[in-house]
Amino acid sequence: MAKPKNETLLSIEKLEVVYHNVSTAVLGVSFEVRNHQIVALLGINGAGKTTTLRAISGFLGVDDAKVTEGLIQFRGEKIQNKPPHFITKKGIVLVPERDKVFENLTVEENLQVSVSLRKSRASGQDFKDLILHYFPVLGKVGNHLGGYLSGGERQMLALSTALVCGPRLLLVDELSLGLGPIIVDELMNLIKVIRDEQQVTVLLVEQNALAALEIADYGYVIENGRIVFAGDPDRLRNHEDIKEFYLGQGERESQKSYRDIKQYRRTRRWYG
Amino acid sequence: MMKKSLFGIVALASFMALFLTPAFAGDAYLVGFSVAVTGRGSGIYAPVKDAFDIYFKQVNARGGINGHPVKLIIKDNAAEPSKAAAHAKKFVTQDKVILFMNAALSSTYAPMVQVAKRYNVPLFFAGAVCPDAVYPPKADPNLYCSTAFGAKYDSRFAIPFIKNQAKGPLKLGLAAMNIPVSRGEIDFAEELAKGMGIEVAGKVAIPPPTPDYTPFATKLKSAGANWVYAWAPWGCEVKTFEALRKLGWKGKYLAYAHIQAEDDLARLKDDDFYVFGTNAFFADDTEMHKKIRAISVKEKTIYPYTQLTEGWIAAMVLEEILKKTPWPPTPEKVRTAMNQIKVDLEGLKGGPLVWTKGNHFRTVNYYRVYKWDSKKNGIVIVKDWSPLKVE
Amino acid sequence: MQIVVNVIVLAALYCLICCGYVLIYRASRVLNLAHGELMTIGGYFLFTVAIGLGNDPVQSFLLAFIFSLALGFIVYFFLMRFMAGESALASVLVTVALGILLRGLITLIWTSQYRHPLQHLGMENSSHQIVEGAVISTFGIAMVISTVLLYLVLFLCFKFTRWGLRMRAVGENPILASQRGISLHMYYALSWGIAAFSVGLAGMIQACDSGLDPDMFVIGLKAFPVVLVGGLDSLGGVIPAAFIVALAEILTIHYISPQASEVAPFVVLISMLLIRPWGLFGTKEELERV
Repeated sequence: MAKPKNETLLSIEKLEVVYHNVSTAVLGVSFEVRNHQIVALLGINGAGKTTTLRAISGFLGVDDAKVTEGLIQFRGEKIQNKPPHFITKKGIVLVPERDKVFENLTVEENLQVSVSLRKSRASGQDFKDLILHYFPVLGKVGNHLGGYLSGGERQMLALSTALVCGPRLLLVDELSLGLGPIIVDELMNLIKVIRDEQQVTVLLVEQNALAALEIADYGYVIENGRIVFAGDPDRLRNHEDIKEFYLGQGERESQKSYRDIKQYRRTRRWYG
Repeated sequence: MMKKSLFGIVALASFMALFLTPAFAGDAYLVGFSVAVTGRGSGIYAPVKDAFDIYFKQVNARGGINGHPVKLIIKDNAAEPSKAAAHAKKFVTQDKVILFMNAALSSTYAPMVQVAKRYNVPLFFAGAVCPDAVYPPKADPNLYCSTAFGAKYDSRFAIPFIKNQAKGPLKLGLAAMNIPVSRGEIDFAEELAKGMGIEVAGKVAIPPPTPDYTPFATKLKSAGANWVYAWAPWGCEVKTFEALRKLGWKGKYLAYAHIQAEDDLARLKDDDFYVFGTNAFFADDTEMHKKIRAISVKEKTIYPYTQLTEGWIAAMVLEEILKKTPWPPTPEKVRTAMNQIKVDLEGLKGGPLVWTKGNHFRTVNYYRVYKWDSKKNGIVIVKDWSPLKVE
Repeated sequence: MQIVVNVIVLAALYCLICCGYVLIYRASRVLNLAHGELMTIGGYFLFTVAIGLGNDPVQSFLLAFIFSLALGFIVYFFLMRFMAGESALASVLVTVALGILLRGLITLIWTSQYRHPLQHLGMENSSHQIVEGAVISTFGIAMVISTVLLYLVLFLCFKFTRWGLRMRAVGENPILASQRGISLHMYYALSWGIAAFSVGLAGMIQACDSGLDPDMFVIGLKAFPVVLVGGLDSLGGVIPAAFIVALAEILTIHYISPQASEVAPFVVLISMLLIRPWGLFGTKEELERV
């Protein structure tokens, strides 16, 4: 029942998200994620990446924001402005940037809490074995409370609990935030392996473009609520401006003048 | 031309009669009644409304009083002072009643009393605790009360009764609810008792929202009381008694007989539970009792007939007041009638209810003591009507 | 010794009532100010069922339990569900309105007379001597046993069952729980159901021990300081808090003055607010919300 590789799983068309009926955070964003791809959505702090993820996962209402224009389609079905549990049921699971595990529950309990969406697939125990296979560290800290884990362990737990749900599309918000480069590499590789072996599609939202591009099949750059560049990793890595603004500077804000930034035009690329 | 204008006049007159009559109501004795049908304590006050409903229904069915119907404007104040205030204002300024009534918690009194004084319209308390201003020697000209229990008088009967009944050394426990009128009466009873040389063993004032009366009963029991006197709302009185019994206390208990007393004597079937009051029980089965029971059953009152005596008595008093108020009625005429009223209660009390200019409570209070007798399997009179002059 | 028994029974009552406050608060951050009314209705359910079935205590209680549980679900699905996601203050106001509604319904349906379900159950509330000088009533025992059983079951379920785990997750982080596929509505409804059942049970036992009238809801308010002393979001905290408050009340009755016992719980509460505002076992962060 594997879907053909080229089929679009998630498609965002001219998305606009407005906060408090006043400020527009995302202005006409369009991109797509194909089945089994790892897609990276890159941008600095405040570019609109998290807002986009929230729009997809249905958590805009929490911040008094809503999708005012555009479409979000998942497997052909419109899902913008739908409630979170509806979207989770469709198979989209989010690993959030903050509050990603239950702090007062143990690692074991965190893993048990997730509701598996795939009834026809392997049982809960098989999933757990799978998790321990990919994240053996979690087996050692089974009794520790979520709140007392190290940064890396916590991120692993967050990914695991998301995977236990058996998602079709995994959204990961800022995987690398607060983690050292070795751990980040390890986690990125794990995601690639999981994608290869478990047929999960992944949308990575990242400030750390270098790390993300190591595993991504395709990437988009978002700035001030707009997609300004798109392409496969090589294309992104070789583009002068991307190199300067995203690959050398990591989390620091750009120090160029605004005029230079205005050079970016909204572009849209299709597979040729 | 003449026919048309005649028709017009008739039409206009009919229109006026139709739409202006309610506010005008020129034909009836208009009485306002603000009562707590719902809300705190409505178990005490709502039965008064029930009694008034059925009483005046049959009064009007018989042709009313002095040829005029009695129109009661009854409103539910839910024991809220703001609502009572609004009712009072409306009764007096809009409906133009000749007299209005209150049956609710004492927190509703102040605004209503203010209206009575300001507009000089008499206010009649029925079934609710009598305010100080109705007692002699100088009763307020606009405040009247027919309620059975009376602070500072009841204990004057109760304490000597206990002393008389007690066989052997008397250790008296005292129970009140932690509200001013009840605490005040029990404090007064304590003074009386000490003045009569009675040893007071334990005194408790129980807060109204109490889930468990056991700790208070424990205090009385451990103080060694063999008689306990309670003067409080019925719930407090009976729950304290039941708590004492659950602790294994074997003493005797005297409580004021509120409207629920008769039913609870039958429920508890305890030979040492004495109740005293100024209203007769249905166990007496007088003609009047039979009548009340019959009408209550026929009209399907919400509350059982055993709880209607207090309201029925107040209704009888009101009927007598209106009978003595010549047409057309005014508040002044009503006051005149009330200041000379003498109502024959046909066995519901130990004697007639008499008001005078300076005494708007009653001139004489007749007390009786009842209890359950398991040998007779019924309620018996322990001490028959004993008059107490109210001065 | 009698004092000890009295404290235990009163503490048990407080525990049974406050369990519901904590459950609802922990699950959905809502302070249920209609809790006392749910207690009263539990007593009236028992009364009505007892009259209907006549002299059948076991079935009467069971049926009344079911009604109370159902009422909790109904209150959630038809009212509180719409407040999910709204501000805490708005939800609290809605519960206040619910309380007023329930009180009105109670007086309308059952009138304000004192009722005695015990008469219709064919049971007696007799006294039992435990040790020399310490007596407890049948329903005092029932109160203690019910509380112990309920807490035991709740603790075990929260620790060891999957739904107990998910309930804890919902209470801690509803957004994350929702993202992990947990149905928030179902768990909120469950918390309301269990809360209504436990406080309804307290009402039923009270009705049999002491009598039933529409003013019973005030006891629900009286128990509230216990929740704040123990920590609004801590089920375990209720137990020591209930004992402390019950002890304070009863010692006040015996050694200070009976009328001051009304104030005792609030004195304890104020002391706790001065020393440790989030309660014995509450979490600090919760303090802002309160």
